[in-house]
Amino acid sequence: MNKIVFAVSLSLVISSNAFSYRLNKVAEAGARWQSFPVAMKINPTNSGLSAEEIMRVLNLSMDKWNAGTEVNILSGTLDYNAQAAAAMDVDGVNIIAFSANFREDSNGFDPKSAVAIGGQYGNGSAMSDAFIIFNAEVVGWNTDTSKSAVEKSYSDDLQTIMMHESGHVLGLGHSDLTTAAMSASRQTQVIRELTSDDVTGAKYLISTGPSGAGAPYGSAESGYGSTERRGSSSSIGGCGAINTNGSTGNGSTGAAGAMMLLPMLVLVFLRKKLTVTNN
Amino acid sequence: MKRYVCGTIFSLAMLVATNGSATTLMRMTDDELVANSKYIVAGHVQKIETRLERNNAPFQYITIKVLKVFKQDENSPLLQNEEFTIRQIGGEVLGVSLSIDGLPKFVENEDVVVCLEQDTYRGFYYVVGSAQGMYHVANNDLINDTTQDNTMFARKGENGEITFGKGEVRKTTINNLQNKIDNAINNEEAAR
Repeated sequence: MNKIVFAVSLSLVISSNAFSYRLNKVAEAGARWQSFPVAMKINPTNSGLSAEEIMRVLNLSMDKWNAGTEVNILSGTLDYNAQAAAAMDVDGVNIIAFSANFREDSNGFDPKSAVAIGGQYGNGSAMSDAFIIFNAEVVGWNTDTSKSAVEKSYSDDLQTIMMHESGHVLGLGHSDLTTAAMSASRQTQVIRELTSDDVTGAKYLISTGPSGAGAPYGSAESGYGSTERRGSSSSIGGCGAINTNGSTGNGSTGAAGAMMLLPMLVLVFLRKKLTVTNN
Repeated sequence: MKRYVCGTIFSLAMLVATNGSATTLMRMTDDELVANSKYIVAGHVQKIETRLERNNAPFQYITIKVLKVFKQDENSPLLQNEEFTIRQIGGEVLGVSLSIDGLPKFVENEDVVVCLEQDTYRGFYYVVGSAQGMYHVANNDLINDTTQDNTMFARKGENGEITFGKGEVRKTTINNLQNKIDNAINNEEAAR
């Protein structure tokens, strides 16, 4: 009996550790988008691609998230008034833009080394003001991977990057799974499909938001014991990813940690109980 | 009075904002940082002032006193004991807090070594390589830690291929840095 309980609990622990997604700082602090879709205004100026091509690829990227989660969570509209210079303003407007003056528009980044910045603000329980700014000074985009790289010092696959940045807009951090769209250490240049890890992370954010119906993907709060807080405000400094073990490096699970914790507790509880019973 | 205090606390709580950002930087080696910097100085972080600017975004003004100059722009030199200011988005003021991944995180009264360029439009400085271009000074060691946020690093290979990775802790010494700077300056002069 003891062995059966141990085996069942062990399999629960192993199966519950399948997800590696993490939440970003704002989501980890409890903020969620209050309604969907998150509407992005897209300005293709300076991208080096036509507006049609930009809109095609960006909408394709967002549709991957919509299809994966079966919720219309992201949408994009062409808007030439959405300026890169205003992308990081706290004004209720969500902007995707390509900057030809990245140092100024990114408010302090070195234009020689930065490729893109993206994220959103959080105010209490609500997310707002998502932004994605691409550095058009150094980055050129491939939308057809069969063609050779464009003539910029850095080139990347636009759909891969957009799927990744869209995940950040939704509230995801980096995943430890190297095949995930949200991986920070992807092994291939092109990832144009979401993994179940990405989708589960997004569904978790939806289900724990105001339009969600509970938290079927695990409780975000219960698993986190190491969130670093600064001063008296609720802002979270330092580590952008959630760790259940206090480290900031590799290996620990993120939101999935909560799911891992429960079977482990069951295991400990049952083993204790059996020991008492056997005695 | 109680109502006023509660109202103030509530208003401040409503203002408290966090930021979830994710940044992709090109990985720069120490040699690349040296070659791409106009200035490299050791300095003491005198004060960090945060102001709410444009549409309620907080901006940090980091004042640093120069302790030693390693690399210099002779046309517009930074002198020992001179103060200069780095301006970048982020910080915490009036209940609004913003932490941007990929930017260097300064702490008051700390000694640092920074790789710099000057924003000629405003006169402020910015850190070359963003978070990669600031070293914490611990005795003779220089430590650059980019593991503490959500930054992704892209590295270009010899054949132009791009690989990706997380942040890392890089350590060097002041002597090593000085040697790299001397080599970079010699290479620049040889190229002229």
